[in-house]
Amino acid sequence: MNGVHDLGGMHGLGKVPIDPHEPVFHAEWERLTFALVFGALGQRLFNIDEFRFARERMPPVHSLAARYYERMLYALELLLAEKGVLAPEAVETRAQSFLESPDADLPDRRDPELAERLLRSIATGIPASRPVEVGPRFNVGDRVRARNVHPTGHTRLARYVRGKRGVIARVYGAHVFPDSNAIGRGEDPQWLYAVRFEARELWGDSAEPGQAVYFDAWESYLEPADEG
Amino acid sequence: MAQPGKSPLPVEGLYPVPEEVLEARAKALASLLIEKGIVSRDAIERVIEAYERDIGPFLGARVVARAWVDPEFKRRLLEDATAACAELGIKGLRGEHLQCLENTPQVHNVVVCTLCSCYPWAVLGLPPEWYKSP
Repeated sequence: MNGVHDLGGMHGLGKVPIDPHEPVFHAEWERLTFALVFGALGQRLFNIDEFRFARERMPPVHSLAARYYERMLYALELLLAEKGVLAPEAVETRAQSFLESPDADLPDRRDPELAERLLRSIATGIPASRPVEVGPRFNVGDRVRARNVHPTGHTRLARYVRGKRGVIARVYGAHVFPDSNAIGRGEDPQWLYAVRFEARELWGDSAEPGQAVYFDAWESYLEPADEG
Repeated sequence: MAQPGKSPLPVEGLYPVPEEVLEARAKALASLLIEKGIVSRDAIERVIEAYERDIGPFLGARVVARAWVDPEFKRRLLEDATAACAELGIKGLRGEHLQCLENTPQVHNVVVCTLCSCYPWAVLGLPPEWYKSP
């Protein structure tokens, strides 16, 4: 979807905040939010692409005003409701009670086996590469054009490359296709490429000299450059 | 909290969401998920501890330092960064498919995600503020 999450090429977002002594988390709710998202992903309540799409569906003004973990919290709550894990009314009631009693403790339920399993998923990871039967459509050096499409669902095809011409720089292998996996239509693995776009092609006369962008693109985002 | 699909306006007074509201909502989700057995107190604590203590930019620094002193390792790192980092026990979540790029006097690389702030957690830990805001 053409949302405010797609920040590439935007102006006016202010200075880049740099704090060399920044803590990993700024508040207890950030810690909790991260751990819950981690647990929900680890328990396969939803996949990473569904999670990204949920963040993109945050109302735009809220999204720009929110911090990183606030966007996570929003997406987590939305997906837990959509997947039927937690009823929105139950969350509302419980949130109200914690607002009234901020020092109330969480239930003291421990599960060492679960903790161990989640910790192991940090070490093993969740690879997105998949075997496919067909070979890649493009090879290194091929001239391609990013399709000028505007999907209303989830996509990794950022607006600033759409319709632009580039050259295949790397062929990564086949990976889960996020556009499909984000909306419950399966993994539909596709070949993934790094495409080199010259800065001038992307930014015209505003481009700085000697720059290029390498953009990771799934196969269906691309067409041969000579097609139209 | 605003609901998806509703108009983002009016805005005044809605944002930023106060810290105590975020705290209450995070605790609400945590307590309900703990009650359902989807997470547990110790699972939450151990995940937080892992990312506050064991996983961070010092891991990536170790990889770079090793490449400085070991040309054979550097060659393997540039060829297959996922496998080379795994030699040092650095692997896993958000480090499943790593690519290592070398800066030279002529070429400077800047890596960025303009969509979701995705980041190689396994080698650098969770992203810093400058990477993920807004």
